[in-house]
Amino acid sequence: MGDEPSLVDVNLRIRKGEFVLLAGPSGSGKSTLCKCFNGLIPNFIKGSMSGDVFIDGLNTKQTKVYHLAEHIGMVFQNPEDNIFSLVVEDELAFGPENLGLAKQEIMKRVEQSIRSVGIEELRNSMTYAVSGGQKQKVAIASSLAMLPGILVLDEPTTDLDPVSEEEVATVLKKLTDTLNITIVVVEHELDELISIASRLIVMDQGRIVLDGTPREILGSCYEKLNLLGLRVPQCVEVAHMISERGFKMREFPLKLNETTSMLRGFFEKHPLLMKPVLSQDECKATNPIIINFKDVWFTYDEEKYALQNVNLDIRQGEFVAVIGQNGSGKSTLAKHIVGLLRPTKGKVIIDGNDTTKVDIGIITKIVGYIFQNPENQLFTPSTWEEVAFGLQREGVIEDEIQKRVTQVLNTVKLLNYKDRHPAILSRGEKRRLAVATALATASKVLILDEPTTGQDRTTLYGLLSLLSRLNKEHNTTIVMITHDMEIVPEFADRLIVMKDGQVVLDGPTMKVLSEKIDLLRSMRLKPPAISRLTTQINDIPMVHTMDDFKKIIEYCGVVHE
Amino acid sequence: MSSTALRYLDNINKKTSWYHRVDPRIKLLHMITFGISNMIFIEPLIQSIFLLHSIIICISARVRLRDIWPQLMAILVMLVSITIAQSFTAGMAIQAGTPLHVIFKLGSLEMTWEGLSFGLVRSLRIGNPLFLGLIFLSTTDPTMFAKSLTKIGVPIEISFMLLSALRLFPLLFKIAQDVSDAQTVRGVRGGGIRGSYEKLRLAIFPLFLNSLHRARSIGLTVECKAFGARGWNEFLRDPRIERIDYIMIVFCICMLAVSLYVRLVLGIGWAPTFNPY
Repeated sequence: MGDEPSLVDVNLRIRKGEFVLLAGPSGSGKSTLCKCFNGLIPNFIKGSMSGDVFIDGLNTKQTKVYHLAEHIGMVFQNPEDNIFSLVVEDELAFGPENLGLAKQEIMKRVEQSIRSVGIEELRNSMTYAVSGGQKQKVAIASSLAMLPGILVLDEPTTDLDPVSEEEVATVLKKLTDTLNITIVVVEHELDELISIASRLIVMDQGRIVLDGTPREILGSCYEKLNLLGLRVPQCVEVAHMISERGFKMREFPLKLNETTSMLRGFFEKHPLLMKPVLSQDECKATNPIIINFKDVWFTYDEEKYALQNVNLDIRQGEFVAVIGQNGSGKSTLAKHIVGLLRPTKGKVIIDGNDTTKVDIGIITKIVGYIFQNPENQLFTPSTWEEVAFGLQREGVIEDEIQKRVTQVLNTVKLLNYKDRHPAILSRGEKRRLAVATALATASKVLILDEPTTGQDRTTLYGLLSLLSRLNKEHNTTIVMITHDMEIVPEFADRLIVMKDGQVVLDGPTMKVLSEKIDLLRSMRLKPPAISRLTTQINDIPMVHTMDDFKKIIEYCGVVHE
Repeated sequence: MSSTALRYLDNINKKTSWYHRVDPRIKLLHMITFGISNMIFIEPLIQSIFLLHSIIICISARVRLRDIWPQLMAILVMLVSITIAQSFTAGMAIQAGTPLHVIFKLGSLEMTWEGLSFGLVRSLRIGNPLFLGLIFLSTTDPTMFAKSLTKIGVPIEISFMLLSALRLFPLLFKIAQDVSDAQTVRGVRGGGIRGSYEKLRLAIFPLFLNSLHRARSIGLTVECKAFGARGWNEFLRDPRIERIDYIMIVFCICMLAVSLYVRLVLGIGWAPTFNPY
C-alpha cells in the first residue's frame, strides 16, 4: 500500500430504501468505503481517518461495531468467508445469538430471514455443500437475521456462475421491493444489477466522480465510464452506438428488452444495406493435436464422477474457452491437462505424453497453469527471481536465464517492476507475472482458471490481449476457463460447454453461439447480451461481439420519409 | 473446496454414529481422561490397549481412514521419526552403566532394545491423544463445540479462538492443496528430505499470506454479525446432555479409575515388561 489516501473528500447521503450500485476500477476505494459504513474502519482496520460517517444517526467512530451490526449488515466477496457455521440454520442464528437474544426471538428471526431470501429448502443443509449462489443467499439471510435497515454487499457475484448471479440479483430485488431495505452493492460489472439499482455511484482514486440514476450516468457519461475501465453493459453500448448515428430515444435503455424495442425502431429507419463481413473463427484443423482426451472418467470420491466419458482433441494454436456452471467439471478438466489429476479411466495425452505414464515434470514443461488466485503460485522475493525460478530448476545456463527472463518480463510489461516483491504488485500485475512464470518454462499450452475474477475491464483486457498476442504470434494454445460469456467470442475461437462432468457442446465459438443459443439458455448459461439482443431482430444477422455489431451499424442506411 | 477439506467436513456431517451424537463437552472429558490415563504408563503394551481403544472408536464412529489420511500420515511420520531417533539415543540415557541389548549397528550408532522400547513409549504417549484428537475433529461440529464450552463457563474469547481454529482447519486444507498444486505446476517436487524441505520452505510465504487473509476475512465477517457483543445466552440448538453422554461419563471415570489403580496400586506399567533378551 502506498501513502495515497484510499478515500478523499467523500461526501455522501444515502436515503432509506435506495438501491445503490457502487462501481469503480480496482483500487478506487469502493471496499474501503463499505468498511467505513459499518464501522470496521476505523474500529477494526486501523489507519488515519478524518470526517464522520453516520448510519441511522449513529456516528461510527463512537458506536461499537456490534451495535452498528443491528443497523447495517455486510456480505463479503468470497462466499466461503461469509459463513461461519456448518449448518445453514446455525449460521442464520449466529448473529442473534451474539446479541444475547432469547431462544424464541432467535427462532423468529431465523424463520423471517429464511422466508425473506427464499431458502426454505436449505434450512438444514450443510453450508459447505450448497452452491456458490446459495452460499451468498445464506450470507444475505444471515445478515438479515440481525434485522438491519441497510445491507452492504462487496462484489457478491464475482465468483459465481451466471445462474447464481441471477439468483443473488433476484433476492436483492425482492428485498428492496418487499422490505424497503437500503442496499449498497459494490460491483465491477454493471450488467446484472444496473436495471434494479436506483442510484449509481462511481469512484476513482478514492473520490466519488459520478453520482446519479443509472439512466443519467450511463446515458450521459458513457465515455468517462469507458475511460475509467468499467465494463459497461453491452445493451448500453448498443444504445450509444445508435444514438451516435443520430437516433433519438425517449429514455436511455438499461434493460435488454428496452434496447431490443429501441433497436427494432432503429432498423426500421436504418435498414441494413449490405451484409458486412463478420468475424470468423480461425480454423486450426490442420495443426497437430496437442491435447487429447480419450474416454476420460474421473472421480474424487468413488461415488460421483467429476468427468464422464470425455473425448476431446485440442490442436496447437487454438484459443479454447471452457464454460459451464459451478461444479460442471471445468477445473477438473484443466487439472487433467496439466497432469495434477490423472484419469480414473481413459487417457490424457499431452503433446504425445500419456499423463498416467510420464512424470508430471514433463507435462509442466509443456503446459503452464495460471491459477484463479495468483498469490498461490508466487513464492520468491522478486519479480525477476519469480520468472527465473523455473529456468534455474531446469539447469538453464545463467546467460540464457538473463535473456529469457528479460524477454518474458518485457512481453508481459513487467520489466520495470523486476525488483519488486510479487506480494506488492496489483492483482492484474500478479496475474501477468503468473503468465510470465509459465511462459518462461512452458510455452506450448497455457491454462487460465477464471481470469476475470475481481478484475476491471482495463486489467482484464490487458491480460487477454497479451494471451491473444501469444496465441497469434507464437502459436501458443490457450485454454481459458470462465463464466464470463462476453469475453468468450471476443477472444476464443472454440467453445467447449460442460455439464455434470460431460462435454455437451464443442465447436467454433461463433457457430455454437449462433446455432445453440437456445440450448445454452436451457442449460442456464447466459450467452452475451449482444447475441441475445441481435437474435431478436429479424433484419440483421446475429452477432456475438461489439466489433461485429459496429460493422452492422456502419452498413446501415437511412430511410428518408 | 478441496476434496480433503470436503471429506473432513463430510465426516462431521455424517451424524450417523454414536460418537457424533456425544456432546462435545463429554468428548472433551473423554480426551482429557484418556490423555491422563495414557500418559501415566510407560509400558508400550498397555499403551497399545489405548491405541486399540481409539481404533475401535474410529471404526464405530465411521471415520474413514482415507478421509483423515493426510493428517494421520503426518502424525505417523512424526512418531516413526521419534521412535527411530530414540532407538539410537535413548538407551544410553536410560541404563547408563548397565549393558544394553544392541539390535543392530549403523557405523558408530547402535540401535538398542531399551532405546526402541523407550521410543515406542514416547511415540504412543504422543500419538494416542493425537489420534483421538483427530477423531474428535472429524466428528464434532465446531460451532456446537464452542457453544458447549461457553455453557460450562469457558470464557467466550477462548471458545471463539477454538472455534475459529476449527473453522479455519478445512480452509487451510484448501489453501495448502492449492499452494501444493501451484508448486507442482511450477516444477517444485517434494521427493526426499531435501525436496520436502524445499517444498515447505517455498510454501511458507503463500500459505502464511493466504491464511492471514482468510483469517482476517472471517474475523471481519463475525464482527459484522455482532460477535463483539459476546452476548451468548441462549442458542437455537442448545447443547444438551443425553443418555449416551451419561454412559460416556461413566466410561471415562472408569477408564481413569482403572488406570490409576493399575499404575499406582498394582504398580504395573512403570517400565517395559517385555524384553526378548
